Amino acid sequence: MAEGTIKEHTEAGEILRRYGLAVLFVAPYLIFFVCFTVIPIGMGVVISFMDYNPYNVGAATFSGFKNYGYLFNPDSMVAKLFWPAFGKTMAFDLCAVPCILIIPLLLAILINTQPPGYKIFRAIIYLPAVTSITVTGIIFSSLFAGDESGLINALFHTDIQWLNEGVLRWAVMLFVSIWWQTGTNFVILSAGLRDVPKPLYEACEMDGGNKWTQFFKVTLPNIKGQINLCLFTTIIGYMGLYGQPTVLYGSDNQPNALAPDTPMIMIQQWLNDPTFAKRTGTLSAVAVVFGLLTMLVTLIEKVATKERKRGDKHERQFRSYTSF
Amino acid sequence: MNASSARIPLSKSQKAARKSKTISFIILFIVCLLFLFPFIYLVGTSMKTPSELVNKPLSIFPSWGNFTFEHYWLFLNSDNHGRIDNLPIWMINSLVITSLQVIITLIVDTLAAYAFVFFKFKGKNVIVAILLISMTIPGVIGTTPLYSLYVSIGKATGLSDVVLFTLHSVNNGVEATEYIYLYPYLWMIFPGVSGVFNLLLIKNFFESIPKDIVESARSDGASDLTIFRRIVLPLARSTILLVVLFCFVGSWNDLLWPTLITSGHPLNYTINVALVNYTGGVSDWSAKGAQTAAAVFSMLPILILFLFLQNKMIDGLASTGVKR
Repeated sequence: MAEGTIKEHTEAGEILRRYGLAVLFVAPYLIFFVCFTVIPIGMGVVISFMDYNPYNVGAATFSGFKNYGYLFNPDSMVAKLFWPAFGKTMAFDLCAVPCILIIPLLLAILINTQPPGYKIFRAIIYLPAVTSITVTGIIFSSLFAGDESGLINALFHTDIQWLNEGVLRWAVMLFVSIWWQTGTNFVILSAGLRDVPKPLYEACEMDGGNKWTQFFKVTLPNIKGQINLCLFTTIIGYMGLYGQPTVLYGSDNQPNALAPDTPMIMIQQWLNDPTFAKRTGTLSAVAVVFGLLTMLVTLIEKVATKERKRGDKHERQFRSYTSF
Repeated sequence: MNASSARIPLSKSQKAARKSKTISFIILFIVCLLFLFPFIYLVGTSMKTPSELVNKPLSIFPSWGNFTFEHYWLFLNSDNHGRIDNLPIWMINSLVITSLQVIITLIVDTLAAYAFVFFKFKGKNVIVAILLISMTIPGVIGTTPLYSLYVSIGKATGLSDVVLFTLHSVNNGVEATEYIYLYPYLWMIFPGVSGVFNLLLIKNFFESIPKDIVESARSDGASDLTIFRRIVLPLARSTILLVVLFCFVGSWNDLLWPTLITSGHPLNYTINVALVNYTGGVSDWSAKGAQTAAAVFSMLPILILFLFLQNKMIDGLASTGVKR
């Protein structure tokens, strides 16, 4: 009896010790996670149903779906700002996302033949991806400067206002985005290509497959996991487009709160303008709707790329981390 | 590798491989020139004399004998156009925020990852599942409330008025006092720590460490803290380096959040936020030299990291990319 209780005691002590230690190890991270991820997201949903002013929290009251009502009332200012910005972002993404997937894929295929100096090429193609968007903006806004002092205009003896409002500016942004963000997808895709088993290509060649059949029947299915990953992260990143339009603008369209280029810019401008503080609830509703739309787009992407048969190892790993 | 293959097809495929290598080399060489050109242009422009900046937009480098470092000297020394004389302060801000964020992230993430992998405790799987789900919720929903919290907490506790340093300056005979506040620093350092991706990266690596090592060390009487410090951390050195790099680049190049937080506190800007004011196709060409010099200056830390560690970084990104 006595022996039993002692043993139980030490076991209980052991469990407590282990459990306490586990809490001690996990707690710091969880505190950060709860404070800066869980609470804000939860609050975001709650505030979107409230009249809320961060400078006067005590006066907050629930207002039902009023904030969402603004967003779907075409005459309200919120709807007039948000939906055009959302439309512009989506249109840009439809052009940019395929480019930022296909160009890295082509470069990855080239690098995968391992020409002399391929490590240097790899580093150079990746370098812009670690450059900040502001440095990128400084470089390209002087390359595309509207007067004759811009290199591009000087080169072609033109006088084009590249960065003024319009399609041309978004085309420049697309060009800059390709330069800036090819690197990350390129590195992930080239690692995928490197791991495609060589015998598969030989088998395909034996069966009389040419380069195209090899590409579509061997290469693509085997890097599907990497392609899905790149697609997923690129779509998320470009839905939240912020940097490029912030740094690339001409002299006649300085950033102004009446015509935000993207939803993220609208959110930043509202938050930084104290006169909008009393509309924080409305802004939260905008963020919730925008977040749901982003999730919807990634969901469509997932359904569209869903494999009919069982995925490979990478595919499953990827899925286990990104799909719920 | 293909020792068993017949000789003639081998040499044929070798010939084909050589051909495709040559083609890849030529294309990649051209692509890399295009990718490098903006950087070369940036450095070249930053060394042009003011008159060449205006008169010779086409030449990438200053003409022979006309190299000048005056733009670099100007922003380190004094006010050039009344705008970038605070560049050293902004640089220090960026360095402090980035390094503290990297250090805290590392401590917090490695501890949590250790608990998730080597401890058995109730609710572990639930927590990991919640972390994974949170990755699919667009962060934009949390941005507004997080900023609201920043405002309300600062106001309620009076923390937002705590001055870290006071700076007196005399500009054109007008005396000015500017403040560096403590509060924005906290809000630029801490939210970034809650990121899930880096934690998963470390957790994935820890999972590849054989459990036997930890178990046998435990039965030898080693405490978990000892095992963590003496066995697990040294094994994870390369993964930790990778997290340092990702965290550093992410924090250094972050734009939206620091823009929000430092709005109205110009001396609290990170260098990335500060330089946004110098982008855009503004035709003030006399300021171009200072802008480009500032851009080069702001790139230095990332560039140094990249030059020394790019190989590790690219390989790391490649191998962990699929496990995101």
